[in-house]
Amino acid sequence: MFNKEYNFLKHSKLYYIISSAIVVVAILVTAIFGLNIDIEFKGGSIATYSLTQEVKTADVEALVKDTIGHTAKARISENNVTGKQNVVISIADEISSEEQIKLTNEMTKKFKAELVESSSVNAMNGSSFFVKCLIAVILAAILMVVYIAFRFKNIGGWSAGVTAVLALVHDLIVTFAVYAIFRIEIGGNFMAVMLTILGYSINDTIVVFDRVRENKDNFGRKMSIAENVNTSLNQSLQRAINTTATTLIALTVVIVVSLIYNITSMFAFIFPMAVGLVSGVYSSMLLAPCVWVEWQQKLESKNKIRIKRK
Amino acid sequence: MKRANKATFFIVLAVIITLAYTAIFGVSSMYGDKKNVYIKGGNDIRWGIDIRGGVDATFSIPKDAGLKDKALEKAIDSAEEVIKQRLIAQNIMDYEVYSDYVNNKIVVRFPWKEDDESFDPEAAIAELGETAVLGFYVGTGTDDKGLPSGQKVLEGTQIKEATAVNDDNYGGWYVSLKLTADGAEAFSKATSANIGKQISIWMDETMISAPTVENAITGGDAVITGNFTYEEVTKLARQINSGSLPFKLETSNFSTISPELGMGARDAMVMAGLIAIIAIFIFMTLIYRLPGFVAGIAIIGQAVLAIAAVSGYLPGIPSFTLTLPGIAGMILSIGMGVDANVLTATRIREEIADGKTLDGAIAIGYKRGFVTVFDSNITMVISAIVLMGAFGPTSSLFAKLFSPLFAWFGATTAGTIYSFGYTLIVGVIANFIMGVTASRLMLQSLARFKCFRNPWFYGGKK
Repeated sequence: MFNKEYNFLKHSKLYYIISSAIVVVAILVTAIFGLNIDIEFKGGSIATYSLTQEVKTADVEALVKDTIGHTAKARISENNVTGKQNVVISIADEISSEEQIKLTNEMTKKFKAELVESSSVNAMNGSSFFVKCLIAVILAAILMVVYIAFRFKNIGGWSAGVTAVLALVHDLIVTFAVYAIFRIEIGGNFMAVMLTILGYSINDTIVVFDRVRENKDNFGRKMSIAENVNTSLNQSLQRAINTTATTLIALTVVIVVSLIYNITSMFAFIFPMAVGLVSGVYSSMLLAPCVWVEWQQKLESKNKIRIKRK
Repeated sequence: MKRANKATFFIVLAVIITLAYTAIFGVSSMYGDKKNVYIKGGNDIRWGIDIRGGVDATFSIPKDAGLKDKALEKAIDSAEEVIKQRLIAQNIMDYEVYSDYVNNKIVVRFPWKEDDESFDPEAAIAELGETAVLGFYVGTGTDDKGLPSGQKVLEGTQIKEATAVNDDNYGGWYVSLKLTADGAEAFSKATSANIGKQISIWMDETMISAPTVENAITGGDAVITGNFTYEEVTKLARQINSGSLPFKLETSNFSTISPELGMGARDAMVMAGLIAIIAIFIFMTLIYRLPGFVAGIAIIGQAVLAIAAVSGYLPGIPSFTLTLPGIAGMILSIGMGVDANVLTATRIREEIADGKTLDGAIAIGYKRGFVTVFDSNITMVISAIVLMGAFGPTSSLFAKLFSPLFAWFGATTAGTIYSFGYTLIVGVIANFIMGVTASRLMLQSLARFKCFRNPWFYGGKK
């Protein structure tokens, strides 16, 4: 299958349409349904009940859902001094005092649990945390553009850097869309997934540009930009498929094991990562090269006009 | 490039196996029932609170401080920030801190398991709540409450940085201080005015040192000496660096909390990791034959280095709490390690198809592969450094680098992201060691054996 020459650049319009559609869907879903944000960033309520019998956290979570309709996380805690057990319930929403009373009644009826304390917690500088993340990512992106511009200066470094970052932003939006569409909770792990995709995406694009750079060194002006990029993509195809296959094998193993053992938080972590990874290959093999070729061709035709005027 | 000989493969293999064995099982000896740990193994990794549970403590601003409304909210905010700084300074990366203005509470949770004797959670909690107000006073006199009565010449905010140093000329461990411009001026004035007299140094309500001024100190450097142990000095440096609290916090409700995932989940993840590595090994060998087999060994080496970097295996690098994002950083770096090997193996196959000799193809494969791996890894390091600077402790090197930019936000520290950046940088270094150098040495060495001279082993035709 690797002997055939594919024309990667033929369907550039299709790539633009697919990518714009995903971005629009992500924005629409976020705007209409909102996001599923964790208590850490959003604030909410934490209630502690003392226990007199063994209970399962899953049962407590189900009870909260049934009585007041909020999604909750329950944990068992043990006091070091008295050895008494408590269950701590975190809810990522502000709950009213009526809801609190209703929940306490049910907890007492079903588990003989008594309310120890309940408090509403502030969002952990939620917005300032996200703004800082954003600034950090922007700063990293700027430094990457500068680095790529320097290392790839013989193939129009700035355009290569900007295109690589464009592909990166695209992949981050696709990953974000997975969170929005599948209602996956956005907590501390969200940032970790986004940052992982940031790494993968830039790596994929650099591999392709590296090949373009090498072909330019070897063939120079004998090859047009489009020819060079298409040849480079064909040469990179095998690597792209095998690397992605290997990484997906590893991620699939983790997904299967976490489903068997019912570790939902791990699944919620790996699944968006796998989608972002596939998006990274797509954007670096199809989207970024098309954008870059068009950019270079525009530059070239401008230069030609200038030469004619002289 | 140095050419590898036949023995090189076995040497590299032996190094990786030794590293793997010691990093996973550690090295320890039993003397009676006392266990001496020389090298920390996989079992010494501090797992995050989501995996093994931890400690839950509630702090509050004391009532007699008389704060209300906005002033109380401000005090809670700054206390929360100092607590986070102190958590990171103690290498606790995976914490949850919640604050509640209405009930005047700050809830802190961090991982710990009851049978873990290397770490004392009660001492850690106590340290979090201390005010840690540092002051330099003229003379050693005290008032009737036992507090210093001399004139205050220098305080904690006038110190830029404190480090723990060991020097026998100063009688062992001491704290070295770098003063701010303002602090240097104040200290220079105070020392020149009090030559021959004592200056007492206080941490909260305890006098920790009372040196005699021998000459004026104008350079902006100061030291705190005394008969300190290593633990005392590092704690002092940590407290000075993470700033002081306006009040000593009251601690209530100190308890342990059950994990969300449990050690069962950890075991499942370890199993998943093992299956994944075996699957990658088989896949790479089937597709790339000999280079794929060598890549499999290199990837195991890369995974082992990643474990060693968090377990405290390497000297000088303390153990880190391994969190879910930290695991993500490892996955990413192992993925990159696979990619480096795929790149070179594909290249070798291409060069052989082009009619190059075997040695030429291997040499070109690694040479070209290195350029690509280098560029992609440097971009990775760029993002890791920015993240560590933005979310790490403010006294770290990276934080200073970016301080003009992030100073605006105040210090929002997020340990999980910091640990992600850390595992990423470790991964990049491991990638150069294993994915590039070790696998090249192994393959070049194997290529010297007659039985492996057939191009088929490298993806060519027989």
